[in-house]
Amino acid sequence: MSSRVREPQRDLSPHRRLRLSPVVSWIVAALCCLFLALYLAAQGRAIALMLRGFAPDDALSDSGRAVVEAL
Amino acid sequence: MNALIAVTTQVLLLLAAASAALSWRSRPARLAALGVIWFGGLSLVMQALGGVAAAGGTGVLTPRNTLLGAGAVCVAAWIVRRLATGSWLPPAEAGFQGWLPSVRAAPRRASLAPLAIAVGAGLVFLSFAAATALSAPPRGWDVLSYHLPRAASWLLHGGFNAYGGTGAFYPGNAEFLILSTLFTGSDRLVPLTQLPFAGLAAAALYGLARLLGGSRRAAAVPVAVLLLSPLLFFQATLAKDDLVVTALVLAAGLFALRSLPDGERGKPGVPDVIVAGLALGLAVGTKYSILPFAVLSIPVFFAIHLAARPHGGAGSRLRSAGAAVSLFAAAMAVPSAFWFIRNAIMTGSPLAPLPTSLSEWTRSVDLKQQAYFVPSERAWLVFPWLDRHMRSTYSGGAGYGAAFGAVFLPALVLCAVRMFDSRNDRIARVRLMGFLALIVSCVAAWWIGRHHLPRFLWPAAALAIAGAGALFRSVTPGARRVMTAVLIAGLAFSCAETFRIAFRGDDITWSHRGGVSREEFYQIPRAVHRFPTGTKILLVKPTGHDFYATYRYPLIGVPPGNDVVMEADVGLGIDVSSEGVLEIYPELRAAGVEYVFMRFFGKSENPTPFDAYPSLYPKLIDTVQMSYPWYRESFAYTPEGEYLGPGFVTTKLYQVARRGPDDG
Repeated sequence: MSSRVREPQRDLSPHRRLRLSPVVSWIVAALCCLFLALYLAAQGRAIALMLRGFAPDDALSDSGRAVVEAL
Repeated sequence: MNALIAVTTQVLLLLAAASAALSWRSRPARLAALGVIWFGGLSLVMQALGGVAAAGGTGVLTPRNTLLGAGAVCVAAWIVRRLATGSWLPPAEAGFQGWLPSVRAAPRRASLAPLAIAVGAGLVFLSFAAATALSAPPRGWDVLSYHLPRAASWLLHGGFNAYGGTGAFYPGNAEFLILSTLFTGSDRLVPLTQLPFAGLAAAALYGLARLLGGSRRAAAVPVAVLLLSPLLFFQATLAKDDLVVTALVLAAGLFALRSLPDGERGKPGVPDVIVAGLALGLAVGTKYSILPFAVLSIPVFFAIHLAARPHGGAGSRLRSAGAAVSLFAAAMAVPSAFWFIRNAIMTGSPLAPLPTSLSEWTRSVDLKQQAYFVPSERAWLVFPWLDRHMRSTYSGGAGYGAAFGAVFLPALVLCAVRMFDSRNDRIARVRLMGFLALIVSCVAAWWIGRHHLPRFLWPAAALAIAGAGALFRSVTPGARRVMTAVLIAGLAFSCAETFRIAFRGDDITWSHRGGVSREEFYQIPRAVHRFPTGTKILLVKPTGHDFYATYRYPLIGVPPGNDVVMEADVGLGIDVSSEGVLEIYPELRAAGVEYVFMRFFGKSENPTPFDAYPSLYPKLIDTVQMSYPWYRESFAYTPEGEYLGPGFVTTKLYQVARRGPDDG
């Protein structure tokens, strides 16, 4: 008997490539820029706080957490 | 010798997995199947040995028996291969090169360059993670308080029956990897036990991205986002189980979507159904949090198999889809049922110590934990763009990465749009429907589960990024260049921040100042390391704070080391008051406890109740040390909340006297 693999090639599904129009493509690219900006703004604020000396919240004692949460 | 046995065991299991995985022609599916079947073989061998030990035999779960089990699995796998294909040897096309992406088969030689760059950058990133992991002994709350102590207890006792206490009844497939490394006689490889699953996750994600319409080039995008994510970096340095579960869920998703009937008259891919079930079952047998998702995945699996069969009568379609989902559920039960049956026998509840009703599950959500990550419940809606512990940045608990935040939502929207695109093939649309349904189920299961933690949501996040391949393929070249720049900027930012966190100077956990000995790292008294193997030490809870549990593994010393027990293990509800200490003395003696260990934060001016009975509890150790930041709860703050640095820890060790008043 042949030892050839018989499993069908299932992942070559006949996906039709969706070509977005130039306008929609640029809207998508703009959204990606916006989401990145949102992310960087949130992370940047957290990094600034850390650099100013705040410890990570996951590392706080109950009392320390209470202090930070009260701020 | 045991190290050689441990390595040989893994080689045999990989050979067994390879003989089965060679049945897949698709390279990513082949690699993913290799990972799932290897881990399945390891889990089943150890479950069988541990089960035999629990049923009466002791000391059965040993390196030598595990090797024999792996050998049996290997022989059985190759016999099955011979029966199925008529050949002992793999086909020429599935040789060594058959495991790697084929440049020759690609339409253009350069088409695999993005994948090579993504994987190469990921390897560099993760090699730093590996070096960091190896620079210090095992660490992390979960790792030290229950993952690692469980494996160490199995090593000491040769079976599962001896372990109780924290996390006593949890599923434990991931701990088998830890146990495998402990078989070598050292715990230095323990932090790396999750790292192989980065490979499984990458292969499964690439396969998923291709399956959902991503080109060879574009499918590299989700792989890069995953491999270069901060959470992966930190998880790959901890012997937790979140990366294990995420990789298995990705593999389950890949094989579930591949298993649909191929074309209008095709049959379901039975091997795909089995591996999908096996992968999800391994995840369920690893972490309780994935159980709700596994339950929800069954109707999703049934629905997509039903929707994928447009022809035939209703009864025929129902029977066919029913057969597929039955096989899926049965395969899922194989690597997970053991833990739930064991729990039912030992406690009467398969889910012990968790609640059994849905209302109790949803009620028991820990809102305090949630507050570590978002300021309010509604803020979870924007978590992908917060992506951190509140006020701080990445850790082993959070960090999908900036690139994830930038592209995941447009990718999901595009998948939803393409699901209704009638120009698409029916199977392709059903796959998109199943893909989105799996993500929705995963998020819903996370929400109704017990803990709202980002790392528990990681499987859903990893699935969600798979559609990014098709997204990059669909836009115009100009927009794609901008999105590629966004992607690179996001990846660079998150990688830089990861390195800053990992190598900052004041944290010995991640610091470049690694190389410390375990004695220095854990600050456990030398006397504890010199006790005879199997010495029973009671780790007492000194205050209401549960951080004391992280000393469970350090107290073991050098594995197999001491038998460290906690209150529940010896059936005691210890009242650490003056009277309580007197009352529990006979019970401690009856339980064979030889020493009592306490560690708490602050200076030692506060005597403990054990100090009041020196004849029953002679004090051996009473020290105060400046703690490392590793002792995270010992940080000191100003009243304004400003971090000052590490505080003090007090350590006390008492002997349980051999002859007390009750002994006459």
